[in-house]
Amino acid sequence: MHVVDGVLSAPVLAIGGFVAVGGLTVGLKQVTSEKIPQVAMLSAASFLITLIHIPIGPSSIHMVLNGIIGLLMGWVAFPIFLTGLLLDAIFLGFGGLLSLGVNLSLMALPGVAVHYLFAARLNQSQRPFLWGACGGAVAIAATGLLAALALGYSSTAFIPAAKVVIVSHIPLVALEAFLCGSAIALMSRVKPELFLATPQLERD
Amino acid sequence: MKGVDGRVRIIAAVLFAVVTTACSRLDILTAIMFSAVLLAWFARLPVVETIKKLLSMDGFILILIATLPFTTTGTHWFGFSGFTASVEGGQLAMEIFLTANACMLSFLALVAAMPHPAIASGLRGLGCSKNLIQILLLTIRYIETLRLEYQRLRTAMQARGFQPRNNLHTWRSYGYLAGMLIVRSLDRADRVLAAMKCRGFRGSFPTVAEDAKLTKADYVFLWWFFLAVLFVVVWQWG
Repeated sequence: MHVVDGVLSAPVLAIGGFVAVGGLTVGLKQVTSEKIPQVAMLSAASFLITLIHIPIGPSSIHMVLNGIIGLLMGWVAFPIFLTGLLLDAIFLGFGGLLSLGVNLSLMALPGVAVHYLFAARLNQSQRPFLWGACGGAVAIAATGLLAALALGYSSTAFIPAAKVVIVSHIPLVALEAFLCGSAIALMSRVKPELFLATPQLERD
Repeated sequence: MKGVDGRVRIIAAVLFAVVTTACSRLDILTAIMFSAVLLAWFARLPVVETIKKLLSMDGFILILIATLPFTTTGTHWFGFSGFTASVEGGQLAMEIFLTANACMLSFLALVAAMPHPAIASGLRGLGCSKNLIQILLLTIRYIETLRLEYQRLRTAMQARGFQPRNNLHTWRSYGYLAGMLIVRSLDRADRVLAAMKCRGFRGSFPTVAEDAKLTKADYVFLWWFFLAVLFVVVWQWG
C-alpha cells in the first residue's frame, strides 16, 4: 500500500504508527542473527516480485504478496514489509514518511492474521493450492478494507474514494488468490520441507 | 549538503513532513513546495528521474484528487453534465497534491540521495534496531543478485515461447515465477548464512562511524533548517 503523506488524519497516522511499532517489536524478536539472511532475502524477493507487471484485462497489476509472506513468516512480515516500503520510497518515490506506519500495518497485519488462520492447515496439506489461495485472498481483501477504513476515518470527504478502493480491490482479490495458490503449490512441490508440521523456517 | 550527517538529514526529513502535513494554507504550501525544490537542487537530484518519480507517485493519488472537487459540497466552481465541482473541494485536492509532492521531494533530497550505507548508519544512530539495519543492508545488497536470478527465469520462460496474455495459463506461470523466486531466495539465504558463519558472523557488521560527532556543517544546516521551520510555523499559526 502506498498511501501518500498529506491524506490521512493525525489519529489514523498515530494508530498506524502504534500498530507498526508493536508489530515490528514482536517480529524483530523472532529474528535471531541466524535468520537475518533469510529475512533479507525474502525482503529482496518480495520487493522484486511486486515490480513484475501482470496483465489483467486492458491494464496490469502487481502482486501484493502479503498472503505468502504472512503464511511463511508470521510476525516477521512486519520487518520484511518495512524494508520493502523503505526501498519503495528510496528507489521509486512511492509512499510517504509519516504514512509509513499506516502503510506497513495495512500490509503486514493481514499477513499475520493469515498466518494464524491458514499456516497450520497448509503444513503437510494435500491441497497447498487451496490454502495458498485462501491466504492470498484473505490477506489482500483485508488490506483493501483496512485502507478504505483508514481513508474514510480520516475525512468524510474521502468516503467516495474509499468506496472506489473497495470496488477496485474485488478483481485484485481473485487474481491474487490464484497467483498465491499457484506460487504456494509450486513451492510445496519444489521445496516440501517449507511446509512440514514444524516448518524449517521456524526450526532454524 | 553532501557533508551533512545521516542522522541530521533523516530528522530534517521527518520534521519537514510533520510541518508540511500540519499546514493547510495554499500560499504557505506553495512556499514549502519551493523550498523542497531548493533542497532537491542543493542535493543535486537528477531532474528527469526525479520528475518521473514524483509523477508515478501522483498516479496513486489521481483518483482522490480527481473526485474530491465533485464530492465535496460548497461554493459552485464549475460543472458539466450534471456534475458540479466546488471551490472547497478543489482547494482540498490542491492541498493534498502540494503536501504529497513536497514531502516526497524533500524525502528524495534529504534521505534517498544519500549513499545507502549512510542511510543505514543514520537510522542506527537514531536508535533503530541492529537487526533491522542488517536486514536493510543485506536486502539492498541482494536485490541486484536476485534480479539477475529473475532475469534467468524470464529468459527460460521466453525460450519456451511464453507470451503474457489474459488467461489462466499466464497467471499460473506468473504465480510459479513468484514461487520459484522465493524458493531460490531461500536457498541463497542458506548459502549466505553458511558463508557468514565461516567468517565468524556474530549478529552485526562493524559499521563506519557509528557514533561520529556532529560537525560544524551539521549544526549550520540544522540551525538553518529550524529557522525555516519556525518561519513556516509563525506564518501558519502566528
